[in-house]
Amino acid sequence: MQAVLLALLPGIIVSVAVHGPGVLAAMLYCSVGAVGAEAAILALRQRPLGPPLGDFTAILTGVLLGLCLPPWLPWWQPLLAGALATGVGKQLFGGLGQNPFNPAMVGYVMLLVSLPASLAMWPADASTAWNLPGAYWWGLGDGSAVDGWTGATPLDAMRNGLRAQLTTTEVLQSLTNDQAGLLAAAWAAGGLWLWRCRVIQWRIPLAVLAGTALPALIGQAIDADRFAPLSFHLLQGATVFGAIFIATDPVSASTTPRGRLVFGFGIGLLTWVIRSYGDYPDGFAFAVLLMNMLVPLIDARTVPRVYGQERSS
Amino acid sequence: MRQKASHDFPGGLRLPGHKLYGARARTRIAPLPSLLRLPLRQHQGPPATPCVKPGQHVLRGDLLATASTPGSVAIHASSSGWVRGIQPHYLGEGDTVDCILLEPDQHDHTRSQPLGDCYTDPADTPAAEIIARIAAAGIVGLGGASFPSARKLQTGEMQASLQHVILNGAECEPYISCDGASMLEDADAIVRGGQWLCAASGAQQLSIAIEDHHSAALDSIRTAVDAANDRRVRLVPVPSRYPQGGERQLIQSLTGLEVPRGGLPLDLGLAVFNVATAAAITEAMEQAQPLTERIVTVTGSAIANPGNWRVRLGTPIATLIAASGGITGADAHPRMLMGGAMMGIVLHDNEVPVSKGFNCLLVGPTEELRPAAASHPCIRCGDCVDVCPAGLLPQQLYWHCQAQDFQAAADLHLNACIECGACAVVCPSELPLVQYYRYAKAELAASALERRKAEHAKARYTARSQRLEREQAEREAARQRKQAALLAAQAPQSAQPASAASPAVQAALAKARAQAQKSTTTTKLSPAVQAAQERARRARSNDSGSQS
Repeated sequence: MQAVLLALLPGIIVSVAVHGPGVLAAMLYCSVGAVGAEAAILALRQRPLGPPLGDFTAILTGVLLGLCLPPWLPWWQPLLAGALATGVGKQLFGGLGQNPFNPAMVGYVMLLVSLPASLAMWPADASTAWNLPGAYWWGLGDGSAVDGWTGATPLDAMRNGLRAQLTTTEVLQSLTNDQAGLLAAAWAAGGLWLWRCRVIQWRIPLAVLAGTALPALIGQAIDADRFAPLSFHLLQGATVFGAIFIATDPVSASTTPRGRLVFGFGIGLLTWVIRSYGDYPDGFAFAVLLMNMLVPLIDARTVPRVYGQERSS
Repeated sequence: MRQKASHDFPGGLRLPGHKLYGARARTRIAPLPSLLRLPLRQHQGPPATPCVKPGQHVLRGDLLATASTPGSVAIHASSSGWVRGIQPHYLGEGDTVDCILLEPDQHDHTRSQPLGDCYTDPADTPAAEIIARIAAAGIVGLGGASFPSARKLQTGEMQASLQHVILNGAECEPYISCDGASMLEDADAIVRGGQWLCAASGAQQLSIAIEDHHSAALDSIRTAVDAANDRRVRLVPVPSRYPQGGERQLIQSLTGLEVPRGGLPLDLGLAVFNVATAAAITEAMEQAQPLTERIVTVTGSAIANPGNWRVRLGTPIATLIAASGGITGADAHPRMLMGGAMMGIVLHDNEVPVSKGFNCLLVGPTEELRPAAASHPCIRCGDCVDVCPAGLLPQQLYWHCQAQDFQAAADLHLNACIECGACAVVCPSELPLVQYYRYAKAELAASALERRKAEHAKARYTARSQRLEREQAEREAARQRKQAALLAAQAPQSAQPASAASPAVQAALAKARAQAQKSTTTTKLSPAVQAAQERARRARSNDSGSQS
């Protein structure tokens, strides 16, 4: 878990540079919420606190969740999301290793469904984020209420633009100061390092990217004005970050080699489908939770061939 | 003649060797203890039948117990001395076996050629004689599994034929180096043993597999193979990866084939023998000496002076520990394993005797050798899936075993698990996975036994109910036959047309009818009618009386 936290560092640095120091605050609030809820439930269950809290999983959940949330939410929102993530997403199922759903995504989706408006508002660009008064960084004022400093995310802009009968090219031209490529590269660097250290395997991340890329390519070929291009789908939103750091959560992912390909591809595909046809600008979190539900089925259908077993069966 | 293995097995992992190298690997002769305990079962199969009496004096090589059935294996005296009786003794992991007690006279006289003639040329010896000699010598697989070697060669009754004999010198378990020592010191006997095995089975190919990092053993066997000048023989270096020495993995590495589920290597025309087994076979053929000693590695961080020993069967491990300089280190009662760190069995008694399958005594601090892990929850990371050489899903097996859902584990092919322990080594949560699998296998075996018993009982019950039904049906049939016969006797009254019968028959029938009528009138009347007739008779007689 510490290795995953280390691998997040390049992305965190870029994220702070792009979205302002509020990112750190969001991570902090989420982690406090996550660890607090875990400790509270462990205490209620009269379990020892040491091992579960010392394994860094709750902190990792909080950090990942914090990176998904807009950096200037009122402090209680990331705190609540963190508490929901480990409390509802993990401890209610029995703690580490027992949860069918990705805890960070549980926290994110619960907050997203409850407060959709505040999660759609991100700093318009790096300068506005860094020029906010410090109180807003710490979530002590409602940053999204500050006029002119917020903007829709590129994914949101794309969805709204397409609904307003704009073409994808027109929407892409309207996006300025977009740092998505830099951010994706930073996440990818951390992911490569994790792969080198054998903390994660290639199957799920690459399958997620393939699952998004394939329909994106097809859509682009069919109607380039109506479907966002491949690069947009791969670089924007949670695709790279999620493929490397979210979908690879082993507890809620498929465990068979072939199953992991199916699982990852399903996440990528559902993400594209939700982005292209859904009401939410990004669908990664929903895609992960939906595929989490399918894991028992995928695992049962992708049992590898055992030594000495007929090849046909 | 020499080539690298052309295939490989999936999974597996590189482990630190902890092996004895160079001069330390050389064998020393273990001292004779004051009492040898020779278990009657040192092999897979039913125990041998003792054929000596208490007080009897025997020489080394004399038969102590004969093979009771074809699956059993003979036991021979491993030194000269007096038979002192039979006593059960614990052999590790709950296994207690009757042992012949042999008190050595310390002269260690050896019977000359106890098995009969010495053979010299494999090509000139009938296969049946070689197999009979291997059986008579009490030879079992010395790699640890202890399968009777002659049984692997009796291909006739399996209706199969052997094309390829593999000698297994891939000693992949950490710590164990007894096969390595054998390959360094008995190389000629090993190659020779391979030739005897080919002669016994008719195999045309002999492969000797050795891990590629073990250059000393490779050199030693290469020299012997060159000297043998037999084009059937080839030396194959195989990748040094655990569990390369597993029979099924070795077959996969050498041939690319997999032994079918529930099948034997023989199904592929293959048989695998340990290198030390081959050396023992040469000794049995060419010196006519049975199996009475083996090489045992005594090692581990708690052993003062680790080494390989040539040990007489039946020697208690306490003797080996003492000969190796005793126990060192802080822990006065370190953990003892029979076998290697990966698959060894924990021993709780230092009087356990060395039996034919005893390849290594590993003694070390408890925390070093398979500590009773303070394990964490399984996070389904799947590292175990990558190292499993059998292609299983250890994580899911664990999940089902933990939930006591053994049938689900069986459905995921639990019985294909070779218990190599690679999954447990890589498990970041330090789960004792193999213990779960062994437990589940034992539970499945127990429930299968229960089921067989229940089925047997059911079959008996069904047979009994069927027998009762059948008897009932037979009685019914007999009754109906009787009735039918009766009806047939009455039938002519109505059914038989009179004209169809001859006059004689008609006369007979008429007589019979008359008789029948007479009898029916007397016998077949109801009691009421009879009573009425009786009354009428009396009235008539009264009337006549009054009249008279």
